[in-house]
Amino acid sequence: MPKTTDRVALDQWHAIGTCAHIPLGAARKTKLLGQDIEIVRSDSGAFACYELHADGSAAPVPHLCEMYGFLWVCLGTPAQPIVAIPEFAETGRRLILRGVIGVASSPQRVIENFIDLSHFSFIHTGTLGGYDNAEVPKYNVEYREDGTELWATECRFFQPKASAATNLSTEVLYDYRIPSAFISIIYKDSLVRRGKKDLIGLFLQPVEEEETLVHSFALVHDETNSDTHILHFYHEIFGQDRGVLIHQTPKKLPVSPRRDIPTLSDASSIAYRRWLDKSGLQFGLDRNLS
Amino acid sequence: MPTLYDYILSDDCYKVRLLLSMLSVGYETRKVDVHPGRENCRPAFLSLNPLGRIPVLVDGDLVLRGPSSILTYIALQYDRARCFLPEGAAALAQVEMWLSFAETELSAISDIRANELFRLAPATDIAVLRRRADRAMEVLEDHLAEGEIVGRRWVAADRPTIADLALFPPVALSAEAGLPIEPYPSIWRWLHRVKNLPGFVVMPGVLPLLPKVAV
Amino acid sequence: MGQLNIINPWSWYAIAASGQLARGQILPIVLNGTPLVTWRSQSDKVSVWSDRCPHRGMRLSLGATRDEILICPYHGWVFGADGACAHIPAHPQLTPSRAARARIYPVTESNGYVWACLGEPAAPQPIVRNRTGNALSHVRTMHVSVDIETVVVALMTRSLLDESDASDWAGEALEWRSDEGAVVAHRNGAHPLFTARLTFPGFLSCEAAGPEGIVRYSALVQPTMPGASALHLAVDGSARDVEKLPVVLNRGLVRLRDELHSRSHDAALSAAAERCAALMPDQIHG
Repeated sequence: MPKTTDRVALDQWHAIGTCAHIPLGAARKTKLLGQDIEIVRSDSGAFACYELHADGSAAPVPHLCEMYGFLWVCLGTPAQPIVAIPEFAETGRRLILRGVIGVASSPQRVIENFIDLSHFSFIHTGTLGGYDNAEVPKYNVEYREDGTELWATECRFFQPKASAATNLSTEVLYDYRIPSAFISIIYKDSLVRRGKKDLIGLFLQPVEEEETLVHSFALVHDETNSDTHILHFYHEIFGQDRGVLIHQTPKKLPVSPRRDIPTLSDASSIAYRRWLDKSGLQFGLDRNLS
Repeated sequence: MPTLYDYILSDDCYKVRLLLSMLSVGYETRKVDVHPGRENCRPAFLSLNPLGRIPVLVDGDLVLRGPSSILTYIALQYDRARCFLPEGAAALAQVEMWLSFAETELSAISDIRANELFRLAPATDIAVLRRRADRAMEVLEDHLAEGEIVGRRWVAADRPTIADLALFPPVALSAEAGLPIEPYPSIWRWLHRVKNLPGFVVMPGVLPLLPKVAV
Repeated sequence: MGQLNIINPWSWYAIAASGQLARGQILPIVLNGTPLVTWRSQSDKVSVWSDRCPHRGMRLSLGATRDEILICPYHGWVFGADGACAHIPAHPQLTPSRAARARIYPVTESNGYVWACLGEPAAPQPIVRNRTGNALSHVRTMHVSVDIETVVVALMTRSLLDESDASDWAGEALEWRSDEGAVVAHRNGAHPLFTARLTFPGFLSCEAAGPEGIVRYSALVQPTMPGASALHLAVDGSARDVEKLPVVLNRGLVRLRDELHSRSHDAALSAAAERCAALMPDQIHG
């Protein structure tokens, strides 16, 4: 598939990897929105990005940025700044970079699964939920930052093991932030530091409409576990989600309300689909009526 | 108590976790940062397994690599009743034959899956791996289909053995390698027989048997 | 495209042997490109649904069944045997919307097989004209990476008991004729006796001379994906009639599949397909 013509997608910043992933003097190829690109790192550490064309030529990509330890690229003209996550500058949390994981589905399907609570009891049984407490209480959906960000707040769920740091079965509060089509961040109660939040975030790299590279991080309060221990907790969770994502059809996210019957706890997903529909985004969306 | 060098997303490690669970063997887990850390490629791990792969099982002075040998050791050392590893030359050899099949043929499924997951350039061309994977599934389907005809429900014997456990993970995760399951109905039924074994545990990507749900 | 490859939305197609879908079992199948799930409840009711949960498109075949219900593994939605969602665990007090239902397809069981129809069935039951009147005793369901026409024609030109390398894939040594709406291929004379009778849309019954006498077997064909198909092989009559016959037939079928997958006989099989097509009735009923 060639480079997309979807301007909404092209004019966004997309994470394409961690800075540490490319050593000094090395280069890495990847693909973004159907376009082959190459990231080159000079011996002094500076990054450059190029679109690779079929005729062998390489066009420089001017919009390239390092933030939060990730490399961000915009193949068009950035319509918004990169999402602001001030917690990266705060102390007290452990940063776990979770490594890129590929998913053969649209980035929007990945986000929708990420913001869904009602699968916790069935897909993350024993950690984020249990069969005996599957009910999802009502939560709040709102728009912030002038409608550019979608939030689901006051989500609560009873969790046997909410994080690597705890085995305390308890109700946990969640806020979900969706600042752009391909990014979502969870703010959930830390059970180690009361009153503080842990962050788990996805920066999705839309490779093709039905292929996504998931870059992700966790900023968590944890005084007991090794990095690997925390990492594997999140890999287990995401691996379980991935086991569903690869089996969902269609892979592109349907936006018509006649497709995919929702229920009450799908309020955030309904809002996400509507928000995507109105944004004019095409990439990764299935706009068929039936 | 043995120590398993383990990674939650590794299908090879899952083979060992299955047997340890089914035999109720207590063990310690040493989590290895395979991705993104590539800890298995660094000198400290290489001194344990120079091939740089997990699982590795350490039991006292014994250090074992490779799921087949680890399964064999656990079955011999911790399963006095020899439930999972029959005695006798022919029986043992058949288990070995299918352990070997898992290593040489089903590894194609594991390799494709690992590529889908971690997007590191694979050592072998994906198309070559896919052909080997498809053929491996076909061979296993033929074997299990004949088994259904003659009343043999397990791959290597009349009861489940470590051969079944070595085959289960890559086959159960074959969708992650892009393989369909519909052409393999005998495999499908065998997968469910394995899931119903006492002590069966899941891994991410393998769905559990759901509980009795009250309606 | 051969006429056999035209899939009728009003026809019944065998999708599984009844004996291989026990109570409480689920099986994913593909029928003419449509992913379906078939399952049997504890009360013996067989269902065929689209293998897709109406909620978020997850495969229902990866779920579980208990009593008369099927549970989607993603959010635990419970579906009754009528396809309607009866319970949503996220909202236990809620009566699920009537739109929350699995897409159901016509299903029936006869002749020892589960049959599905992708549209409105023209006949209440599949018409299996088995002239011997014997029951079909299932041997194996096999999937092949060739279209229906190719596999049917291959089964008509070659006996499953034939272990020789040289085979008349083109059917030149066979007499071909039409007979009461069926196509018959018959080999006699110096060669081992072999007759294959094809009735539509996809029931093949064969008689072959084996080392211990005449063997009768049948194949029900199932269109799966473009360029692929499945066939359900059965012994015609009690399998106890000839010991080890199911194993022998299965091995013959494996050999046939491997030959087909080698693609060495494509030209010959095309020639045989033309012979068959020339004798097919204009209209296919049932």
